[in-house]
Amino acid sequence: MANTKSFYLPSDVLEAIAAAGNGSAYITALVRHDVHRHRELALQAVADHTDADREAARQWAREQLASMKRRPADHAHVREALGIPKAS
Amino acid sequence: MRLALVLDTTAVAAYARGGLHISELLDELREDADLFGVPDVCLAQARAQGASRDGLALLQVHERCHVLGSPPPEILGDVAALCDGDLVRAAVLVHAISHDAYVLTSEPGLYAKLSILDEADIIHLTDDWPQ
Repeated sequence: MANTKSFYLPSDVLEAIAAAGNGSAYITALVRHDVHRHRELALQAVADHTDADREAARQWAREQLASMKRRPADHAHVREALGIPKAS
Repeated sequence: MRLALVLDTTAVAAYARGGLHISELLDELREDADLFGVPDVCLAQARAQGASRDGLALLQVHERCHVLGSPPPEILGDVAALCDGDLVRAAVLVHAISHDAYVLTSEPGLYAKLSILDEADIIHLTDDWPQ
């Protein structure tokens, strides 16, 4: 409970937090609810598929990543032609 | 940490509707400790096309997701001119080119016909379900 962070928030959000009385508890409840909802969504998305579906998709994914590793993308010539700087 | 993959709007939409192939791909990417990039305009376009807010939020909280802002306007404009003025597709290409990354899309033909990237640099997100 000792950690603090500073954020810039819109005035309507600040007003809502102030109106809640215990702002810390209010924000904690909201964030935990949001995190929980995202976890539920992720679990639901997985549960909608059969094991065979998942295995086929996983196999496809591994093939794509193996291919990417064998042949890393190199766009140096396109960067030069179009004047696009390389990301640092 | 390397940004290995840039998602376009079709890939974002596939994730937002619970696409299994893209979910597995991004999870496998996590094990490789690589990042994937999502141009903010693709998130916006997917939303405009009906992607759920929750699905888009889930993508953005993925631990390997890096949301990419708009490229410099002159560069974006130059590339958009090669894409029939399509600023969203141009943003995907600029980010992929600048990061030496692959593009993940359900519509590889839209990129292949531009002949900007090698077709081998475009990953075709196929047969995703549920539709």
